[in-house]
Amino acid sequence: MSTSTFAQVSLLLLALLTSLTVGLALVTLVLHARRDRREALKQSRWERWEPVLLDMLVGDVSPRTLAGEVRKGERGDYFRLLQSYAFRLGGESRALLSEAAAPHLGTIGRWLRHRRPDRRAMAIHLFGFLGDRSDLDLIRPLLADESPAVAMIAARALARSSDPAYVYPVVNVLDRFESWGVQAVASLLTVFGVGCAPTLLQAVGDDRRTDLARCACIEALRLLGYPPAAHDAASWLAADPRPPREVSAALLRLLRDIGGPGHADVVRQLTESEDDVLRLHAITALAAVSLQPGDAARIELALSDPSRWVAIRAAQGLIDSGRVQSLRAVAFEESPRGSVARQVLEEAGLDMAL
Amino acid sequence: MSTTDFTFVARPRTSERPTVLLAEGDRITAHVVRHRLERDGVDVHTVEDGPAALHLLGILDFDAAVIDAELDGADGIDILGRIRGGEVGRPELPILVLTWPGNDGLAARAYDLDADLVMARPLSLVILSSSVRRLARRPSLQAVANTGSPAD
Repeated sequence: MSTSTFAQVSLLLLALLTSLTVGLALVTLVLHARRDRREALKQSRWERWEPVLLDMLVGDVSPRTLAGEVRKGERGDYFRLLQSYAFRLGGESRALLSEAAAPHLGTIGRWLRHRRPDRRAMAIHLFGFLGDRSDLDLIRPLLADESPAVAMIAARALARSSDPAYVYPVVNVLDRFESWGVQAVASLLTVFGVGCAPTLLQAVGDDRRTDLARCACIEALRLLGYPPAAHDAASWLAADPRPPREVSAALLRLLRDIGGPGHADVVRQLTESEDDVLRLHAITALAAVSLQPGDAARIELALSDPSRWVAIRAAQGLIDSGRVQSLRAVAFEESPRGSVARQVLEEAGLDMAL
Repeated sequence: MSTTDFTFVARPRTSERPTVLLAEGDRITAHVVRHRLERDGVDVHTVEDGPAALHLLGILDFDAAVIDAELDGADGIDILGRIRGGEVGRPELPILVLTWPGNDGLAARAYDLDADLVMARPLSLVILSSSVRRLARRPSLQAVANTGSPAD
């Protein structure tokens, strides 16, 4: 390639790159300008509606008056405004916001079937916050939405209704929420309130369900503090075959929090399990449900467990059950269990003095 | 049949229109709470952050304060502690703390620091307004010292 051809190609490339850069900068500017214009438009609409909305909330104007201020093409911003207030206000104010939304909710009904997941999600939010009982039935099919995020938003909206009729449909789709983890799914279920507990208990007993679904239901029962669940948990743990490891561990955590001395037998058996995880949870649960001297000795024995995690839980169990003196006595030993005792006492901010 | 003669003692008012500090960083909550309180006969001084709230508490005498637990600059819990510690404002100033849902720890800390009331969103404006007006009616120690006990 001659020098002049090389220079020409270089210049051409440079010109191309410059054009591309300028083009991209222009596109960015246009997008920014569009976004700013859109934001300014929303702001001016909100400024027009907010004084009327505030008067509506104190009873000076009717919800219909506010709804009448909204023109075609403005509904998206109107719903965003109502949603912002509905998120912060409950009681009588929420009812007024729902009335103000009602004349326009028909438009949102179409968004439930929109091709864009964000539109479907927003429609669910709006129906969940501002709709009435019949609107919730429109949300229910979205539990099967192709997007798990949309399905999760639908489940949350149904849970906020606290209507026991929606517990079973939500429990049936819990497997879709695997990526959220057990804690998040359990938290979703607790939003239903304690009224959902019998259905959750039924789901735990159904061994065709996945471990995630069963664990989430158990965790929700624990968070709700539903006492009848303790009896069933003890029965399932005593059954042969026992539920899978993760489910059994969740049942032991439930017994730890809402169990009583009547459940100690089954928990005691599991302190001898070959599975470290089950021993760990069983020791903690036993310290919580039993005050018998024999069980105190069993927990103390677990300070020498081959698994350090189990030993640590045993030491914590001694502290939680008010047996700190026993732990302090062990802390003076130059042994693995003495080291565990010292570590746990220090972490709990307790001195070693007997 | 004897009739019991009940004597109702009206709570003394600190002023005709109580003056309340509203320290709230969330624009929408501030708007709506202010509008409701003003409509119900309360003079409201609104600030958006902690330092501004501390400044107003230092120069004005309020009948009650509504403080968001999570303000910028100095959070509501910090301000509550400073008021109760006598660092700023009246130590016995009636205080209502606002929180966001799912933050029970913050609500517990507010009660530990002797908040009079803690309310989590979503708020009922009717209950919030009546609570604030009830708190604002509580006589200050200074007023009691000047006029004798409220029951006198």
